[in-house]
Amino acid sequence: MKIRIKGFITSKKSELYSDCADNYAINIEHNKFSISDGVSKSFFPKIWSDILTNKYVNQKDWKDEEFIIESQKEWQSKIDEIVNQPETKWFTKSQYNRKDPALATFVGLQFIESEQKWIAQALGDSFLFFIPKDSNKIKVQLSSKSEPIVFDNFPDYLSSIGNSHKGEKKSIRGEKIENGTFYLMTDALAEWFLQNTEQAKQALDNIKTKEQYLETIENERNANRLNDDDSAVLIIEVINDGKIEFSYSNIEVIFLSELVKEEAEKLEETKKKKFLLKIL
Amino acid sequence: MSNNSKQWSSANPGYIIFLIDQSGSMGKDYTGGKNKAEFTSLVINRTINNLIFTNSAGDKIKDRVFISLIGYGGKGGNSVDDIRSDYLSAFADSPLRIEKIKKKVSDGAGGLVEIEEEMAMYVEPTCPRNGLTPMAEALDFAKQLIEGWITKKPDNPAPVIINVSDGMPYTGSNPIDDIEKTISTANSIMNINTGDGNPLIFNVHLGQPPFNETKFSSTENEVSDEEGKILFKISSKVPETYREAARKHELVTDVDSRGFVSNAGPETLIKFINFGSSGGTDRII
Repeated sequence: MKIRIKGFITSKKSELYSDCADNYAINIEHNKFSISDGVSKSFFPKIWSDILTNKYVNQKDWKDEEFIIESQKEWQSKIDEIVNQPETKWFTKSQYNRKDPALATFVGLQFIESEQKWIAQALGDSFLFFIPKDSNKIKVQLSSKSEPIVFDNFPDYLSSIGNSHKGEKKSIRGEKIENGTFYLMTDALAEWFLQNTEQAKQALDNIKTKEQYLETIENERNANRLNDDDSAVLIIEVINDGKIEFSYSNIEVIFLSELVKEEAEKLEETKKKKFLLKIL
Repeated sequence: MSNNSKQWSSANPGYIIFLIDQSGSMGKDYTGGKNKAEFTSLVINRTINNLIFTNSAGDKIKDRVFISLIGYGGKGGNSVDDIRSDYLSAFADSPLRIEKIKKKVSDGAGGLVEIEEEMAMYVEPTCPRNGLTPMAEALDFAKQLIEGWITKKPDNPAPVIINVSDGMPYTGSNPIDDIEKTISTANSIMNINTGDGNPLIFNVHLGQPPFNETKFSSTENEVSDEEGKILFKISSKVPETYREAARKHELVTDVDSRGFVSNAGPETLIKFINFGSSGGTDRII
């Protein structure tokens, strides 16, 4: 099986990459992929979505409970560190003392080489879609949203504290891997994808660079076809080359951490320039 | 789009105007040893803090909400005071003061723990004896703020006014004129067009024990007292998006309900203000 991966992410209009609470992760050794959307009104959601996606892919097999507990421990440890900084603001301390949790949706996908099958799980309004090769119709769709699908501000989620998760996880086990493409995406893109699958699929398939992705997002937002929200997508194309082993090629995945780093460097540069203009 | 359903975002923030009656009568006892002015300030301060927590994402406030706090009668006579108008992050960065309060919260494992919480204050209670109730003038000021906002931000959610008062409009002149002016100014606000429908006016009238409340009436006939009838006239019909928020706060509305409560007790006041400010907590992206 040959596998190609593309991944793109961007923040809401007028917000920075560092504000983006969507995240995804891949691990080609474990053949695992994940995506998560941090609920923006929760406490440090972007850290939670980052931990969930990376924890899931970086261990080959997890028991559900263990995955959540280990993710929660890491989130708590990071938040403890942040809140104990002397410059922490009063509202951050208050929410920390109130034990406000972070909340996030989650979709995980794993290919099992030995069985030539795939398994997946989803909670919330992030989606997995599978479209077979030479088709424009969704064959498999996974999220924990019930039919009829209505996108709102109250998705199911995993909580970073205790057992206060919302909703029932939906799973798919043992689907045979076939030629076609998996799309893992967060809610705004999923709503857009469901509304006009053929055109949305074509648009996503044609994107090759970050710039093309940003242009597509901007155009679709301006045309009011896509909601102004953090938007992340992982596109995993599977091509049956007659071999049992998985081989990865053309991995074009832009990670949020890289974008945040680039953005911080640019902001620093602008700051320096402004300072120089001021003193010269 | 014309149904007050736009999402509140950093790109297109919403606008909440609190009109706070600070007339002398707000000094009457209300609940738990607090008078109406003190309790109203407490609820508004808590509401702003709740907006801050909801929009903080941890350590950085996202400016999805702009807030104006307008007091009327608080500086005596027919004064109308722009107490503060700012984005949410500015409120968070520079409150008037921060109080420490003790509170019980869930420990995440089914129990409760007592914590000390810092609560920021943005408006102080005031109700000078010579303060009248220039409601029309306060609404007129709010109208100017809304017109300025819409000119600069035509694509944003329709603004919301939450008016908290304990009485009839009164400026010391002919009461009929005051009432007519209040109704006409409110109507002119509710007729302003935005891309997200008309600005909303929600009114809560603070009562006296035993708080014989009338909530979200659909017709004027359902309202028994004169003060309530005036508030009915100057209250917007509750849009579907806000009906969802009402349900969340256990407030019953129907399709023709107006956004007002008469003779409100303390619990209803809290719920009503949460309902009125729900754009900044429930419809955010």
